[in-house]
Amino acid sequence: MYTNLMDKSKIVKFFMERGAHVDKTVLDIIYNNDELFERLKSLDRKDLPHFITADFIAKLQERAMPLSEKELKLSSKDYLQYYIKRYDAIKQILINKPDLSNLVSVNKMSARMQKFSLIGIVTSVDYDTLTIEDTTGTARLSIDNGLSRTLTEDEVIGVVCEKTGNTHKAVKLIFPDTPVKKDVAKTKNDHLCFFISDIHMDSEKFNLEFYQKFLNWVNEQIPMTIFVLGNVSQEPSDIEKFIKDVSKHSIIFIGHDNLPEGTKGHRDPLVYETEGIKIFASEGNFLTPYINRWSMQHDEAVINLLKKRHLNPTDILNEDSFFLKTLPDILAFGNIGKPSATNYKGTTIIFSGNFTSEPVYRMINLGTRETFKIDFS
Amino acid sequence: MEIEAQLLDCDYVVLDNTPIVRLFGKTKEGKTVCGFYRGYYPYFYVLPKKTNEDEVIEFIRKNFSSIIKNIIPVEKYKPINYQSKKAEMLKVVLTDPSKVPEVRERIKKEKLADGIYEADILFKYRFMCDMGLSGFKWIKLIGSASKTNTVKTDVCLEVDEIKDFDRTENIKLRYLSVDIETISREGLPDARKDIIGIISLAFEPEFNGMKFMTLVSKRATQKMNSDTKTFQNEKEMLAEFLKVLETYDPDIMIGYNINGFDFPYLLDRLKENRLMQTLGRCNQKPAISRKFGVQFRNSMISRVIVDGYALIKESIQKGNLRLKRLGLGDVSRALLNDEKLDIPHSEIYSHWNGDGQQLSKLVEYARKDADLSLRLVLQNNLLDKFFELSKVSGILLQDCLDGGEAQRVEILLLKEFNKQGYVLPDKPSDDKYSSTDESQELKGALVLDPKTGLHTDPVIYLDFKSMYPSIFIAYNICPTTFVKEDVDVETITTPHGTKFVSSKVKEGILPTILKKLIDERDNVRSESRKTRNQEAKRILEAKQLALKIMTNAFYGYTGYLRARLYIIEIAATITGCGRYLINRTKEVVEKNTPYEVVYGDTDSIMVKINNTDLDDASKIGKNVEALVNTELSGIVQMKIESVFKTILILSKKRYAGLSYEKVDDEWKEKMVMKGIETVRRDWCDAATKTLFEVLNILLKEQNTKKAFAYAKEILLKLEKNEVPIDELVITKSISKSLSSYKGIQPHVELVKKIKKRNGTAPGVGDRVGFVIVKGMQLLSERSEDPDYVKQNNIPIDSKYYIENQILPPLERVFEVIGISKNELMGMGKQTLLKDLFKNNNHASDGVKSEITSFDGFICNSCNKFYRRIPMIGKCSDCQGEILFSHSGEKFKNLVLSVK
Repeated sequence: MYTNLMDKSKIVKFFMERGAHVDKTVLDIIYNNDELFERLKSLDRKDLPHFITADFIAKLQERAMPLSEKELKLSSKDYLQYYIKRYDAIKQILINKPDLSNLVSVNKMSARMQKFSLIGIVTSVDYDTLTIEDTTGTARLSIDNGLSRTLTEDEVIGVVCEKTGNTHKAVKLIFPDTPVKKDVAKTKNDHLCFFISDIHMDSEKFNLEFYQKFLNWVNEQIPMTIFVLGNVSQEPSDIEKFIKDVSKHSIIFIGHDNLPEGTKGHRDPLVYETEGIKIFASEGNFLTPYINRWSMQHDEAVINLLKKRHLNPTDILNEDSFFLKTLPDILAFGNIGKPSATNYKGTTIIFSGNFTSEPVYRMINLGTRETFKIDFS
Repeated sequence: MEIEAQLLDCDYVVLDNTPIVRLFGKTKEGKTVCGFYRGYYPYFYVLPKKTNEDEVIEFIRKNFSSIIKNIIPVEKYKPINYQSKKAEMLKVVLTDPSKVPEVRERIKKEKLADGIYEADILFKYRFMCDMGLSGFKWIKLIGSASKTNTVKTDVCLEVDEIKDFDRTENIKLRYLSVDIETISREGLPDARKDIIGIISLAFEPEFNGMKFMTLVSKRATQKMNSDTKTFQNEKEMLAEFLKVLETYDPDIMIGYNINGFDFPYLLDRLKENRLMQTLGRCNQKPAISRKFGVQFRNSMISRVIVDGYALIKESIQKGNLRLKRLGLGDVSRALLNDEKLDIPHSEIYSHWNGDGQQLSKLVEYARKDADLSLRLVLQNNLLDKFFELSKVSGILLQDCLDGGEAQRVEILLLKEFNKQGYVLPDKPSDDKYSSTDESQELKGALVLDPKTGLHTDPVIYLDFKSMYPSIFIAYNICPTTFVKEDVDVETITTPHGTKFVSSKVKEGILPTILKKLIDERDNVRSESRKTRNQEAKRILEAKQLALKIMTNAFYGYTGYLRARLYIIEIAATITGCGRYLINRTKEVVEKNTPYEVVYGDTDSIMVKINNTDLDDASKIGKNVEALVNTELSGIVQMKIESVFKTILILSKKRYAGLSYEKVDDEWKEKMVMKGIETVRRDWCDAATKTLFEVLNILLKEQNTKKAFAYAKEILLKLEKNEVPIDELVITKSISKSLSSYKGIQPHVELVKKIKKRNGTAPGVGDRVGFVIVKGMQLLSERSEDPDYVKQNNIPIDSKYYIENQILPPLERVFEVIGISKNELMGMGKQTLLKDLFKNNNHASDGVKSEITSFDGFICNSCNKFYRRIPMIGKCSDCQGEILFSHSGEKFKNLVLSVK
């Protein structure tokens, strides 16, 4: 029995180190099933739920003989785990913020409390009301519109609250934010990365002259990595031509679903890493609702999202891509607004142009982290 | 003159600066007696600081010369820790009991003493202890007849000598049941302005040939029963009540919630009407009603107030009764097979102001209440235990009914401590109590981790006979034998590590008392077995129960923060030894037998025997008993209590089993349930019945499939609306005005609905029964009157009943039996009980299986829509299950394509 306890405690510890907790009943099951334990061990941390329950194990068994290899079946409880994971991850960042004194959970709030703090996930933001939740309940707080203006649903924030009259008011919002990058990451040798998007070869507005200038320029460059952030053309033949035109370089297609056979594409967004440098590359369409909601410039909107440590809070299923557990060095987006390059606390933010009106793009040398503006007009 | 009487009350008066003790009793012939005893004075003890004795005497004489009778040097043992020698103390005797606190506090303030003892003992108990008297026991008063108009008794005498003696029979008591109806327009009645409309009385024995009498504070327009008297106004009615009280002269006044309502209200109305409140047998001291927090303590001289509601509540708390609701109607239905008359509380006002017929109905209603209250107490012999407890503990009957266990133990302790030359400490002061380190928590009894599940092999139930008292005796545990530092005498070290002086050196006072109580109980049980007289047998049964209660009260007392002898080390020693004994027993059984201990709690263990025969199981049990007793010889004795043929263990302190006990060579079957929710008030009858029946099938037939099938059948019936609506009614009471309720509650919402519909509705004090019907609104808004539902054929929300009433308790039961490892690993769809009862694809409740995209989330019970699943994982309104929503439909699972 003593041996059993020791082994079981090892199992518990194993999962705890991976951010998961084992249900009591399940512990016995895992302990008695080596195969199951191996299967669980093989899962990525991101695939482990916060609580490993009998339900999860049963589904895991089902997934071992899945409905079909390309399908994922989720119950609402599984879905909840995604939010809890996000909440827990960002809470770990917020919990150390000095402004969040007298931190309580929602169920510990009482009408008598004069000043306290909460960490919660935003459920809704109205003109003067903020609703946030944690795993113990929901809190409705009054808030000045100026303060709530930059919020969005499903982001995780810290809130400093004060009692006003019979209610509590959110007087300060604390975001996880990003630390300043002290050391700028670089590759050992020069590594050129060029970010292009919105070529629109099939469009009436496609400007061949701009494109020709691009071709002349690109073929004079040493081999580089070209990130194609969407919208080359709807016609596969155009894409084939493009590939041929820039064949001396290595191309990374992001968000294209009409690539020619044999051409590898990547889901949008893509997190690309090389020699310790992390590049977040995306068409950027997901940014549009935020830009519109906040009435901000596109680069301001991205900075606002960086402060939330999450580039797309309302998308839970692509959490691994959008949640910024570690910060990218470069964020590159397709044509959302004016082409631009900005820096926020050591992170470079690039927006590309287009080949219909504003063919301005950026090239970055990862070896020196110099950014070059290339204008093909 | 010599009079034998049973003691009912004891108090004192002060006349010419001299206290006179009054003993109230009743003779066998039914005559009330009051004996006046003079010449007894209050006193307490002071332990002066070293070489300070003269200073203390001087200080007391100087500052309290008019009230000090005497200061006598004495030698007494201090109460805590073993001492070989007595200490020199001063016995301070006063002339007035009420001045004791003043003198005590002054001595404390001047810091003249190292200790002050017995300075807070009530004078009546000081007297009773010194005279060797006990509450409700027989006493012989020897003295001379006297005359006085200060008391209302048949006989008065000046007492020279008192003796107490034993007699099994009690006097024939006179019982008066009192019930009042107050007249208030709405809300709770206010004694400052709302009159008492009716006082109904029930007598046992009869009063002038009448079983009942109802007094009404207004003239009636139509003829009433002969036992109903009407008056011009409330004052006249109250005056008549006082006259009846004096003439009938009851010993016991009974009511249902009389302490919480009728008695205090009556006193207030007597005051408002400027009538005397001397309801007892004394013409000088009025009846008293004092509020302590939310409770009232009421008393009057020489009459005992008995609250039926408090007695029923106590019975339920002790596990002697299982009742869902405690209203007089509900309790009468359960225990007397009788009902209250049907007038809702909120309609009393309209009946009072209505026509003659309505008033007549109200009078009948009031009479019935008085009748039920009386019969409840008498027919169920609810007072027997208290009569005997009063005798055994020594405290008066009224204090026995109202007071806590601590008081009962302390009077016994006082007698014995004084007898052996010890003093008792005062109760801890509020300062000392609040500064007591509460982090010094008492580690409680051991509850072993149970082997949960349905055990179909016999399980023997063994328990330690009087475990805690046995531990006291075995290790001679007592404050007077407690050893903290090294001593030069033989000591015993307990398994907990604490030391006590051996009984060879000095027998502890607590072990002495406990031995006496245990021996007396054995004698009483033996006598009870022999006697054929039913009345005597009943009294002896009550006596042995009282002795058991007193024996078991000592452990709790030592761990009670406000006790005089609160010593955490002693209480911790008892539980520590208890834990050691249980662990040791388990070890002994499992090492020396092939059997398994499946559960253990405080002083009992359950051992599973691999055998199907009850007789064989019992024989094996005896062997186990002998084995354990050998190993633990001299400490406690274990005994086989019963055999469980089947037992379902859910968790610690929660099990149900079919128990068999041998009585007169025959096996008697009994269903035993501990901690299982068969009587929760917020459940409908269908839930209770279903759980009970499932347990019945599991335990009696050991048939899991049948139990499961039965449960499924009920759920299907619910889905098809085939369960009678009356079985789905949930009841809650309206305890305050509707506007005082915060939040939305189903019964409150229903009352608002009924008010809108009918103009009138249930009010404060009424219980409201409701059912939950189908609809899109919040749950609380879907509560409806059952009659309205029947009349209008409104569909019930069967999903609510399934998810929130029937399934939760069943899930806990089936969880420990129905879900095997194979099912869990291989048939993932059946991991949840809910899934077992539902079709996977298109359940009849409209929930579909899968969807590939969704537009939000929805509560499966109340249909509340959510943009995102609530972080608490369930509906924030009704705690219902959350499902995916798409175009208004509900789906269990989301299926996504993974690229």
